[in-house]
Amino acid sequence: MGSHNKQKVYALVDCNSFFCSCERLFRPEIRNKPVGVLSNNDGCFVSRTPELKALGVKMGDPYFKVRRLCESHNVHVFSSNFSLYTNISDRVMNVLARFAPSLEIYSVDEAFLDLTGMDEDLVAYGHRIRETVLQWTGIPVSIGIAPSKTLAKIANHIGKKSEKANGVVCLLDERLQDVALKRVSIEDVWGIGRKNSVKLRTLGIKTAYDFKAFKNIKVIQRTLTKLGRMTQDELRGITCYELEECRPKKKEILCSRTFSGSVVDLKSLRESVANYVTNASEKMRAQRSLCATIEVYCHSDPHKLNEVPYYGKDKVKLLGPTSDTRKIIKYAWSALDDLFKMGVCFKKAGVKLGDFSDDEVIQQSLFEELDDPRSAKLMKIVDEINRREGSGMIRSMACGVDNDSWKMRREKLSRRYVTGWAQLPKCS
Amino acid sequence: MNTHKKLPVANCGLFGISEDHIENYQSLDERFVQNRSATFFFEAQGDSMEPLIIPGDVLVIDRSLEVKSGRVAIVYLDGEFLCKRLIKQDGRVILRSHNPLHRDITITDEMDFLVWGPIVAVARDMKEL
Repeated sequence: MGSHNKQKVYALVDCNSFFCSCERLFRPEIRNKPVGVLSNNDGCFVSRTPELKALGVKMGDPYFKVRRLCESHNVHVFSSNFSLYTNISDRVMNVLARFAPSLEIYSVDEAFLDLTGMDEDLVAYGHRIRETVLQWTGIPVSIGIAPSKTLAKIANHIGKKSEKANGVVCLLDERLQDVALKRVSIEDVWGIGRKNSVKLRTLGIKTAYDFKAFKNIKVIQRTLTKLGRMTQDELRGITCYELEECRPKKKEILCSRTFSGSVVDLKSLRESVANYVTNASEKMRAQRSLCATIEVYCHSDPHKLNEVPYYGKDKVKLLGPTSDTRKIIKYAWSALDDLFKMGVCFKKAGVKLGDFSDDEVIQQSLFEELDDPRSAKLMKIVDEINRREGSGMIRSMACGVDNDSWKMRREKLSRRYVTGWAQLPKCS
Repeated sequence: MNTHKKLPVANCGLFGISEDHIENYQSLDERFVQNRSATFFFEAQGDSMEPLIIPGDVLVIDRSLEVKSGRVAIVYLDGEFLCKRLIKQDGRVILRSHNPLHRDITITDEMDFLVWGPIVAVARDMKEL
């Protein structure tokens, strides 16, 4: 790109109303209608199409609060169909990977692409990416192109809103950057957050442009530390954050749910916890870790009047690291049995696995209790079967067979269109 | 430890046929799924495409390919997915069934219509037939 040949060029590709777009792919009749997707237990809105936003429904609005509005406007509401969303996300990321030598998957619906040194009209290239993703996967995306990740975020944000841009905004020119930054308020800048934006506002910084132009580096250093300075540089088009291609392994894995009803007996509580352990340890094995601590918690509904809130939490330290679901359930249960209290209406339970080590670098020590080598083999086979046949195909009896009291509420779940064979979309 | 690693390695068993002659097993994915990210599956219902396609067939769709005139495709029309041969003629789109008992459908502006993707293969479970 002309004068500075070392300048980086990043593109942020963001799927529009991602969960809703996945639902629309197999229901073309709702492609122009208001659509929303609810969080676990059909609680709050986590994805909304522009048509739903126009009705005034906000991110995180509880469904029961806006139910009447949704019904009167024929809003199509779905429970979270995570197996559908992760499958489609994987497809989108694979298509994007063809367009750049390196890419960072930032979240389920966002990725940064490195377009540095690309000898092409970048706006046209962006449109080509957009059209390809739409045709191949059916998912509409917006693209922001800029010399830093923070500016790419802003470009993307504008691309979503501007009709004229048609989903692609390129902010490589400094004059264009300044015009854009003046229109972005400081709390919308990537990495600033609500707390910091309050501090910046007291300094008279209201927009991203004000922040960029703010000269007193010492004040920024004092109020926002080094991270604030880096964000300021990023807004000036100086790359501070490179792409992170390899996701660092998670340091702990948590699985918790709010029950659809309330749970009053130990058996149901144990079953729910066994399921969370199963889920968390499967994820842990997928990143090839073993855990040495297991944290269990369970509590009542804190908002319920005329009930004394109860909160129970315990941490088990193991003698040696493990990845065996059966063993972890055993320890989780022994902790849970102490936390259980007769007469409490439990509303939520959860499990956190932590203190990870790599499964390749485990060394035998005299005092540690290690997994039987056959256990790792068994877990590998179970994971393999569940991946192929659908999750939960093989699980411990501890998870229970048919208990509704702790199950998630997913009344508006769409079909498993792209995972498994039983619920393929039909055509005549 | 690891003393077995020092044993001499003998090339035997395959009578000197070396490893680079070993090829992968055939796979249907390799043959029919050219572009995994763009490949989806539908299930056929009804008799409109018989005997080319029968109910229960699994249809393989590759959305990265263009639907040229004359190709069989999944389309969406007024509330349902259809599997039809798509014919582009004089600026109009005609949906043709394989079964002569079904009439052509000519797409008009009032219809809610879109082309979802071309069918590149059919998989049929013969065990029950």
